[in-house]
Amino acid sequence: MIMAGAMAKIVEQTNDDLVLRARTQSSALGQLYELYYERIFRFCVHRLFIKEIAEDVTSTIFLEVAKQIRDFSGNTEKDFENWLYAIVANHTNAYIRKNSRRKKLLEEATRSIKISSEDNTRELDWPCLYAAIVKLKPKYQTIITLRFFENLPYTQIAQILQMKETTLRVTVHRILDDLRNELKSVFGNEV
Amino acid sequence: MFKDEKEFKHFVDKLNINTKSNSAHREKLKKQMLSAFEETSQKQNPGQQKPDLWRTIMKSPITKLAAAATIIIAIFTGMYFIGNPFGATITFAEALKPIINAQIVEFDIFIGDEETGLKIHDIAKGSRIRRTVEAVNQTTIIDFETLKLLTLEHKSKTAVVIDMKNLQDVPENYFNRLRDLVSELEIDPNFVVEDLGQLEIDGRQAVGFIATSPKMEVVLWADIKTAQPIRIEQRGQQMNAICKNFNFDVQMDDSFFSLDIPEDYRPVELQMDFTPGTEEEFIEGLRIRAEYINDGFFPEDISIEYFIRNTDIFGRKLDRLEVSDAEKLAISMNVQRHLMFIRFFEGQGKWFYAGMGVKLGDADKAIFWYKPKDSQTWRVIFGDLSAKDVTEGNLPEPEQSDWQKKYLEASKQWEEIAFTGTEIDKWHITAPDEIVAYSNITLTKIPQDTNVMYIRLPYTSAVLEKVTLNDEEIQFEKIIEDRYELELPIERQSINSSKIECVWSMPLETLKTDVGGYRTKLQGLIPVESFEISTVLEQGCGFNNSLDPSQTQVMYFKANETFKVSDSASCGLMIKKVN
Repeated sequence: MIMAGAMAKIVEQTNDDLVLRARTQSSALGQLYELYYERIFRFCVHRLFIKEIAEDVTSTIFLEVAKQIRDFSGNTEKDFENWLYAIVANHTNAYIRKNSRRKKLLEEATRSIKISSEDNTRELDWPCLYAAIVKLKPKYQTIITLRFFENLPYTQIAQILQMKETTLRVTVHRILDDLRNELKSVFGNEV
Repeated sequence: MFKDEKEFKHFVDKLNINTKSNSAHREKLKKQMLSAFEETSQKQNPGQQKPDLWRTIMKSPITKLAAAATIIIAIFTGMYFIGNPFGATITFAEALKPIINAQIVEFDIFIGDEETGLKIHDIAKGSRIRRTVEAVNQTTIIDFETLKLLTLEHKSKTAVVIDMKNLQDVPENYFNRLRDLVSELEIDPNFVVEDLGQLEIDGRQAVGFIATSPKMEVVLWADIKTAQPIRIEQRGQQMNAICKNFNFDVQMDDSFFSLDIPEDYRPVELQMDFTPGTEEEFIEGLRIRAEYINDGFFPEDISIEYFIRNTDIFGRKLDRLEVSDAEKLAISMNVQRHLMFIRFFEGQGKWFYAGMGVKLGDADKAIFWYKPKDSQTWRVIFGDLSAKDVTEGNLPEPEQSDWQKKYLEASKQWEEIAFTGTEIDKWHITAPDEIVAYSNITLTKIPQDTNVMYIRLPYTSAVLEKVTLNDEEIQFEKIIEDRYELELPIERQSINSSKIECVWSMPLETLKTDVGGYRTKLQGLIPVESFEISTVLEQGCGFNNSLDPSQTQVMYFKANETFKVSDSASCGLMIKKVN
């Protein structure tokens, strides 16, 4: 057990060092990219539903990271992760707010939910849940994704979104209420 | 249905979501990213830190900087306020002598009106002015001799230092500026001054004058015995302002005007361009205001006064934008340049604005036109932000858009008091420092022939979310800013039986604060015969009742008066933040 703990510490230190070096060394930045690409792409799929769009936004995010990493003022991997997720949240929200392809995205989700509603035996699935999530405020969508899809702890989400943790907890409670009501309006209590 | 977080999490975990990435995309992006990184490193010496100044700015609350910049715009408006307008008669100028001859003068400036406008407190001494704006908790020291400006943002203990070197036409001080202008204007035939007779103001007998010029109208009331000014009102294309509460030669320590940064304040240097804005910068500001501040529509008004009065909304909208701090600062600075175009307007005569209610992108609607200096033709800017040269005969008619017509119709109803009712408001203070208000209206007066009812929310930042008539949801449409029209079927209108519930929300920070805490306007959504307001403190909202912490619901105000939109009554909400 002691060995495992020590190993974990070494790994953590290594990644902290990677973060520091990534400000000036492209090889270190490349390693960070490898570590985070999948997570960020996954987040984007959860937020944006269509993989093609998720790829576009993932590209925008990492290009932004490349431009801004020299100004990143954190020292640890955790700092980097929070900084990165804040960029990710901003870019996904900006995409949803601004891009006309959002219409296509919503249409697709709506189509799926109609199919689900017509089929009484079908259970609540991802397209249906997404159609309900996408009706939330962008910030709430971010919270849901970070908490339930990315499994981040409340403390970290609060840091990323610059909220108080107590406020965040109550907000999550409210978001789930809203989601529940939205889903009930489509599926009734049977879902 | 999931009951709680745990069940929801379990449900999410069971979902079969395909998040498999495309390895080709992954590799391609990596190359692009590293290439972008290298490009950045070529532009910037590797390892060299950017100036600490920039970092400091980024770490400071961006909206405070935006507010500081706005107040800086106000500074010049306020300065010219006393300067520009004075007329040809020595009688009129006599009333200004106490200001000109004073060593120190202290007064309040209200941008807009006295009840709802932004209040600025000025103390002028020699080349320096100490300007306090309580609403944003800032004090600014301006020195026209060294052209330095220091803004102390008290909450964040930030000291913003601004170099005004590129400010054009700088006066050496308040008093000389005024003295010179009075001399100039005494021989200017364009100024017309008329006597307004006598009036009692604030318990003092006053004599009034009105001075008009092509660009401005100024009303001055002076004490009939001492000839000291009591009240000066300025009405111009850019803004209306009132100046009052004058005090002359009060004792003020020099430290009041010091440009030294207090030890416990963090210094931040801010670069601002005070040269007149270009058309391009003006257009960019229009885009920002429509896209980011006004939900895709151009603002109701583009005057400096309108902007100053809505600084809080600008700050909040900026705060809510999910962009980086650097982008927020850039947006703020672009808006300042946009304002500089208006503030130091260099065209011939007046500019015209018709953008209220026009949607960004509407290429058919002319929103702004002006005649540039030394130009034979006009420049017309359209809703898609294109700009064209147009001859005088082909200038757009300032026609009313559909939105404007509705807006005016809504205003008319307020004047006629068509729908009237009683209103009970419950303002829920929710966890994220937001107010969710439930306004329950019972109609007591109903016009004969309309199924449209107009409502006006008390604050422009408030958003109407849902409306029900006797528990059934009804349709509504936003007209502009705080005004909405509700579809109220005639067959469902009934005196004392039609109960309308409007659910609306706004950030708590919208409310003004004073020593006693938050204050709200007392304004019904429609003209009301009685009005009641209470707050409900929701669990975990971070506030409690300042009088009795055990109470979560408190009624603050109840009256059986008729409240109109113009009423300026306010009351305090006895809530305080839990430490």
